[in-house]
Amino acid sequence: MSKNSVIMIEVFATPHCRRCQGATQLVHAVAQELANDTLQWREVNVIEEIDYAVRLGVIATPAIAINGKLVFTSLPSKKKLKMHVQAL
Amino acid sequence: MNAYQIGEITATTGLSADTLRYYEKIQLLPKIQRNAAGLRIYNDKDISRLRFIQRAQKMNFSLAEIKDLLKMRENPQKARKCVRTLTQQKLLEVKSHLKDLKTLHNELTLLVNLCGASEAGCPIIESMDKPPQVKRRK
Repeated sequence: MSKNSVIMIEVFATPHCRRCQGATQLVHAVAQELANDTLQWREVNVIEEIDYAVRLGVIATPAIAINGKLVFTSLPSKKKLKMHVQAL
Repeated sequence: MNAYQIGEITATTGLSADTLRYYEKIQLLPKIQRNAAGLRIYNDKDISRLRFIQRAQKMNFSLAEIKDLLKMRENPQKARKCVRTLTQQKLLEVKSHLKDLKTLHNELTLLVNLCGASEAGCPIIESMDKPPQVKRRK
């Protein structure tokens, strides 16, 4: 994982979406486990930022983008997400 | 050359009699011949012209542009460059529309999927009144 440049994980979610809550919890857990100052994350409410979501190619929730690029179009496993982040 | 009354032309082309008369008025069609009773008599060339107008309309050309195209059609050797320029302009418009349509398509797909995935009500409608809010967490 990069030690200097910031890694931004974005979880695209909507209220009342159970799988989205799972995605948010997953990213939160991965961020805590990797405990790194350069790792940031945020939840993107797709309804409020629909233009941004569409621009990134999100067509369903949950979805996860890393550094402005859509990486997961469904809920990944914790192992898969960690591996992806660590490979950056 | 065959001769057709206006009713036959409307049946053949699907255009209304009013439209045919309007096309003649704005000179998309030439002055149509009349029979002894004063009724319009169309010929095969007029039908060909109407088919061309319909095709051009499907390609999103305006009536004014079609009028130019029809002039070019009568003298294709001289018109090549003009037709190409006009068609290129149209192509750019189509590309722009395609881009907008693609974005709209993606947005609607997302909205449909969001509604399908929602367990309580429709997230689209519920969120419409909320002010924009961006959460940032570390």
